Amino acid sequence: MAKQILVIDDEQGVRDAFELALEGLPYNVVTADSGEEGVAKARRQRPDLVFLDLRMPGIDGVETLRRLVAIHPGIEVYIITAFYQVYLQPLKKLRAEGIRFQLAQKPLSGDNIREIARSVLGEPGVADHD
Amino acid sequence: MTRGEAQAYEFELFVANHEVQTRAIMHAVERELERVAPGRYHLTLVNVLENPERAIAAKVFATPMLIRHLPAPPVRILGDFSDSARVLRLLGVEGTTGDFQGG
Repeated sequence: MAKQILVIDDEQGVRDAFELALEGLPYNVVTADSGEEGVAKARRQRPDLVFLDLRMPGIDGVETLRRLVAIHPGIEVYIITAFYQVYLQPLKKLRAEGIRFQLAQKPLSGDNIREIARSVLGEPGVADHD
Repeated sequence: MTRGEAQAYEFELFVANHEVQTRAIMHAVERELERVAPGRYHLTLVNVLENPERAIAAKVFATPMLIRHLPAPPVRILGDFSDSARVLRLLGVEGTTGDFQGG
């Protein structure tokens, strides 16, 4: 059965970019336009990898991750955000709660997305050479 | 580096947070480096939550990422480092099984 990737982002363009980047690869890509929808979809079927936007209307990425982990302990989640202290500060609360996550810097290129998917769902490889 | 001098290595490991698993990765990589390049490496752990500026400067797009800065050019590995010997081989560390890729 194909590995499932869940993309949670309120921006249609971003969701489209993830789908395009992962097109043709052996993954089943599911998207959600809000934290609430993402949690509902994850509840129906556990994703193997989640790409989660941090700043969203409704419940934000921090609360979405809390709910995802409550449903599926150990779920693999990449939080997508700009690497600015002001954006990362709320994530320290998650660390204090013992909630595990990885980070990915916005904006991600198609190559970046595929590398992350491969590293989580397959074997790691060299990301790039300068 | 002149002929006859052993290769020195510089690495940075970028992580999202300090946790048991991260420390295990760090120790596994250090053990392998100590085995193949004793006293000839420097490995720095960077928590992106605490030091995002360093991650940006090092062109880190995701965690966990291990970067070999020296020898140049930089090489980046993303993902599971549980097989540290294989990771170091991919990074071209002399003494690991496989061809040396460094410059």
